[in-house]
Amino acid sequence: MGSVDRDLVEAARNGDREAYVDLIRARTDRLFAVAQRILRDIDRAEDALQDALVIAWRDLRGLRDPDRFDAWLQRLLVNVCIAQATRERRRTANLRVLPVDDGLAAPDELLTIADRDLLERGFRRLPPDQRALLVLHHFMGYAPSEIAETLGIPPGTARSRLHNAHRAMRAALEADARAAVKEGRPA
Amino acid sequence: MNQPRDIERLLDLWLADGPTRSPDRVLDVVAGRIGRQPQRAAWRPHPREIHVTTILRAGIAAAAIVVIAIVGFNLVPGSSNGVGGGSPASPPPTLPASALPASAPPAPVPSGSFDPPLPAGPNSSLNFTPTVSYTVPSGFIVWQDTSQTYGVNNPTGNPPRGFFIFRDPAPSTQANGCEGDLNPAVGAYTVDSISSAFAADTRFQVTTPSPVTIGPYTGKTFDLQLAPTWTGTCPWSNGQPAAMVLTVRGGPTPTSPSYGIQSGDQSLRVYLLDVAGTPIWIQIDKSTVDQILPVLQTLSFAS
Repeated sequence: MGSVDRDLVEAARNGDREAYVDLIRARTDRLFAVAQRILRDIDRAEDALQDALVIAWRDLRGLRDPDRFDAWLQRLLVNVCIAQATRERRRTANLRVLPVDDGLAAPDELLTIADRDLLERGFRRLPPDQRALLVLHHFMGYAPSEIAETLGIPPGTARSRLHNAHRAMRAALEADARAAVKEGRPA
Repeated sequence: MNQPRDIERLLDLWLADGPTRSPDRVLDVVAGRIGRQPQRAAWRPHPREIHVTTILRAGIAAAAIVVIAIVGFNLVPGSSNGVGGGSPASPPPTLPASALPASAPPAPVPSGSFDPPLPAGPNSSLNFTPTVSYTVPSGFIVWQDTSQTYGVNNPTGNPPRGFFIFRDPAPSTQANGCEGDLNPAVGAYTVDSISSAFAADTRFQVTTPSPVTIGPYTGKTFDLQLAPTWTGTCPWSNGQPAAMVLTVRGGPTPTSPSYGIQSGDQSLRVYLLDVAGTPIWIQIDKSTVDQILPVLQTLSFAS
């Protein structure tokens, strides 16, 4: 973190709201992208981001090291997303996820719309904490040690949970493929 | 598509696709909300940063235990708060009506119904079954709440201070690429048989399981870490010694939660309790026992 940002954190900790808005201005895009990928919904991602940023303001005085602001804020956002996804998962546990075709081109020729549809369904089957692990690793590019630091868990735990998340994703895709075969839709 | 192709490569590609810009109104909305939101006072400093003499530390600890025991008893009626190796289970003490608090204690708050951190005081799980209730000071968050696993910690600590609970734990093996296969040598999944299996497992360095009582629950406690002589690895351990510890039974296999440790991980303090015939595994970082044990003393599981 640069000295300007460190000064902004210090000012925000002392109650300067304008400094806080300046501080988060450069971070909202990245945080929103993380939230959208965990929650798979733009509106809920926006709600989660707003909540996380307000909670961060409320609890900022508890952050002892200004250089830890980014990791602290990201952990806060991930936890808000997990809490929100957990609540949503309970409400929608028995609903079937319909295929989504938003007309966007795949970012890679290898990833077809059918692939993305299958990945979307498989991902939504995962527990929220596993979704968060996969987003931190595959979208943010975090190594397990960085995930451990972000989530506040031991590195070995992060590694084994990431392994479990990959395993669960494979299992979810396999289950979906079996269901697709039974229903005669493309897998 | 999922078997021959690399799932990790697919996730890289798929997650790269999606919005990367936050709606402009987010900043305006947040600016408006924080205009009405005061900041909280700073959390108390980490205990490790307080430098006191051993005698003073012992005095503070004794006073804290007394206070926490009194508060815990008042908040969790019927809890015996009896924690410690070798202490036999005892019936909850009965207080005369005049000794009870005049007002009813606050009801536990479902942990999924608000945003982190948890409010200081009584809280309870939303998804974990049986519902677990407990009392925490400020600064704690719930980082996992599924039907079979529940985790709470205070992320400001190093290592983070908290506890993690598994329902129906089963010792697991290295077989099948550390996929969490159950240890076939374990017969009935009871507190005694599970404790014995870990004590006999050469992958781990385990202290002798001893009787423990936490609140109204009895069980066994032991410390567990990777044995220094163990050299086996797991696919996730980057070539470092590692071992699968347990897998939750009765889950939607093959996606049942499982848990492994590797060299360098902190030693664990395990409390394996019998809760109405169901084994409940509670683990904490051994170095945080002093901070977390008072929280565990307030645990109760819905019947």
